[in-house]
Amino acid sequence: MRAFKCALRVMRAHLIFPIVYIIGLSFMGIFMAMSFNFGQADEQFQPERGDFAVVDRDTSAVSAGISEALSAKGGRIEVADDRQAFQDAVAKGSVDYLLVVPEGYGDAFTTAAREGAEPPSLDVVFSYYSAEGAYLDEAVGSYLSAVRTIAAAHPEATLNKVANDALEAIGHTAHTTILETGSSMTEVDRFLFYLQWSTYTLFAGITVCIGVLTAAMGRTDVRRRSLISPLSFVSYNVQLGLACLTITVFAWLWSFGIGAATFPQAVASMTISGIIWCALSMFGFCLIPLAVGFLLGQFGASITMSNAIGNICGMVVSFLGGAWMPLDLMSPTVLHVAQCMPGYWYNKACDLAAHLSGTPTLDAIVPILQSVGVLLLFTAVLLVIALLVARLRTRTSTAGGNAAAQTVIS
Amino acid sequence: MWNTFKYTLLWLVRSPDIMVWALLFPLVLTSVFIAMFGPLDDMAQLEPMRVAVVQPDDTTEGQAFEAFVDTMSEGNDRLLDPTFVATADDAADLVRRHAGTDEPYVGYITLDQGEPQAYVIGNVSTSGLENLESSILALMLDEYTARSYLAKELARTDPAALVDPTVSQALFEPMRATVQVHVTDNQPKESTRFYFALLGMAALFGGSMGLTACRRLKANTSALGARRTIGATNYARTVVATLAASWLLSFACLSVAFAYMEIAGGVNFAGREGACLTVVAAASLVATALGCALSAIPRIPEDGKNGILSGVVCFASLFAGLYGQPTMELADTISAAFPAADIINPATQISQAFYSIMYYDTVGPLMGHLGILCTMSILLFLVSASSLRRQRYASI
Repeated sequence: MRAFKCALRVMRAHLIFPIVYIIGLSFMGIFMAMSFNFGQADEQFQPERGDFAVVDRDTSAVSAGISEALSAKGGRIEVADDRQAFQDAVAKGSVDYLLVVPEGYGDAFTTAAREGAEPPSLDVVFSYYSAEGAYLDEAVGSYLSAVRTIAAAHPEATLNKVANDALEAIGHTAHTTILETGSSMTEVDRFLFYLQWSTYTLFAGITVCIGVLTAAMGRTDVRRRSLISPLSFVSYNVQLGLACLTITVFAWLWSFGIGAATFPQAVASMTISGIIWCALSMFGFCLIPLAVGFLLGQFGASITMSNAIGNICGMVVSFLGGAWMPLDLMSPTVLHVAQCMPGYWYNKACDLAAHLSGTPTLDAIVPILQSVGVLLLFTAVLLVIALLVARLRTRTSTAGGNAAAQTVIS
Repeated sequence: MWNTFKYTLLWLVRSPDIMVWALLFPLVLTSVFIAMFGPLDDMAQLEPMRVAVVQPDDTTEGQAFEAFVDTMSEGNDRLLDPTFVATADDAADLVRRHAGTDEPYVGYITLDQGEPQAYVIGNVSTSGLENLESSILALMLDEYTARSYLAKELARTDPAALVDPTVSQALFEPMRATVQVHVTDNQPKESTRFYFALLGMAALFGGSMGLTACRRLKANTSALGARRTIGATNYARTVVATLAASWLLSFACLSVAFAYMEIAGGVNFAGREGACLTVVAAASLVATALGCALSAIPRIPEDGKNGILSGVVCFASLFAGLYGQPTMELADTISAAFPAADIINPATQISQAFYSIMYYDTVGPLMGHLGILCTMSILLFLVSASSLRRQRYASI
């Protein structure tokens, strides 16, 4: 097992790659999964909340009422009353909705309401998420509509009374209930997001590490020495393959283990078979970057090249697996392309496995097996190509074989 | 010096390892972004919500509720796309059958003993769009309930007021209370933020050129470096020419990515391409300096420094909000809570410099970001200075 040990020593000399890609980036996935808001279990309806700013130049009871009505629908952010502060808030997305209440607005609004005239308008600015802005705008409209009715019905009422009565009126709300549709966002989805994000970590990490190993072991001089050593060619390749597999297994165990340890609630709410199938799906996925790294090594890619290809492919695979944006928001064309990528099948397998309930039936397991099977097919195809390239490469002068010897002789 | 510059540039252009990072990476990711983030802006525009409505009875309240639904379903900016059904069970069945399909229903609404009620679907995707639509539907019914309460109160306390046309108009007719204005020169689009964050990431990955340049300067890391140390050319001139070539190529590659974004991606830079290219130039300078600073880390294999660069860039890009919508929201939250984190993050500074060009009508914010980027470059070059300066080697 000297070649195997030597390969691991090579990896130890480049320990920075597994530290950065496999360990470091997995913590990034953990951080993201822990930070994101995945909503609550669908038992009670929780209305959306947006961030808003009210620039109150009026300081009347009506403008205070507007702020209070908005506070029921979101969080207030303070924004200074100058153009650059407005631009700052909108450009940086710190508010979804910015409302400017001009001086004298409360009086002008109630007067218009009592005279049956068109009420004065308020200036609003929507940020990036205009749907959230429209939602908050609806809340303002609802409050002002109540103010208009009360002001028209009670011409003698003070501004304070109109504003307060309007707040009381909008306090009467309809009852909203969540329908049970069979799918809900739970803690498991946080773990699933981590598994989805791991597509990038694992792809980049394993490809780079295997690329480093094969690049180091595939150098012409090293190959020449290996070829004339008493070690058989088959034994050498098997030991090299074992070293690659060891790195892959480490990446798999680390990534899955750290995820399971960080989200124990999610793991506890999954069935044993669900956890096992999730882990197996991840292992199936890990074999693909192993094959890619091996293929790159056969092409004679340098460490920098493996690093670049691993990163680019990792990002594309995680993109098209839905780790960055849910695939249901994508166009049908992108969805079709995604189905030709391993990330899609890995995520599908994990999603199905995580939602297994009770004793799994054959009907529930078959779709997972199919997805994992597709992953294994990807690996098989890549390995066949890699072996073909390796075979062709042995005939070149860079491989250190006969062709190289001929080059030296000639 | 000119020869050093020229041949360094030629070597870098002919080096596939370098060009993959500097040119292929931004082009591939931009192409993916074009495919992925196109629907984002469409998503931000609220379409009429598909909702099932249980046919109300013929009472006054039922007619009022039906009139309310009709009002909300009319006009160009209508909010509802209703489907009337006979019973609540039919409505629930319709909603359940369409959940998770391409044409889902937000839920169904019904008038139960004079009280409007909404039954909505829960979140079924990480986009959270379902909850937003459900909230808007709930808010519409809240408004109906409030009006209904006001009408009942008026009927109880002052029935004569209800026949006053001003009051009935205020009670029943919809009102446009607000008008949307723009405070920025260009209306912010969510997808554009991702392109800015991508430019930040792509620029920083160009740091691999700085790394390579430094490797070619040091006698103990490359054969060329060893030859250069005994060459006739002044060492300071060699350093300046090598780094200038790295910066120029990094700038050129990033400019190609920028042009690709504008032409193929349809990203609108509002005719401020000149200012954008200034930011690209500053971003390339930071990237080159970052590469030089990383090359100064001792006791790490030269190849391993590329790994460190990738890790640094990936983490920096996370806080610039690159990795999708939830990451962008997380980055906004962190930015609001810890503004100092933005100042030390070059990826955030680069993307914010692009915001400044697009969304502010003064050059102040842009100059601020450019100043921070230049300061970062100087500091990073200073870090690398100790390893780049002429020195003695025990053994090369």
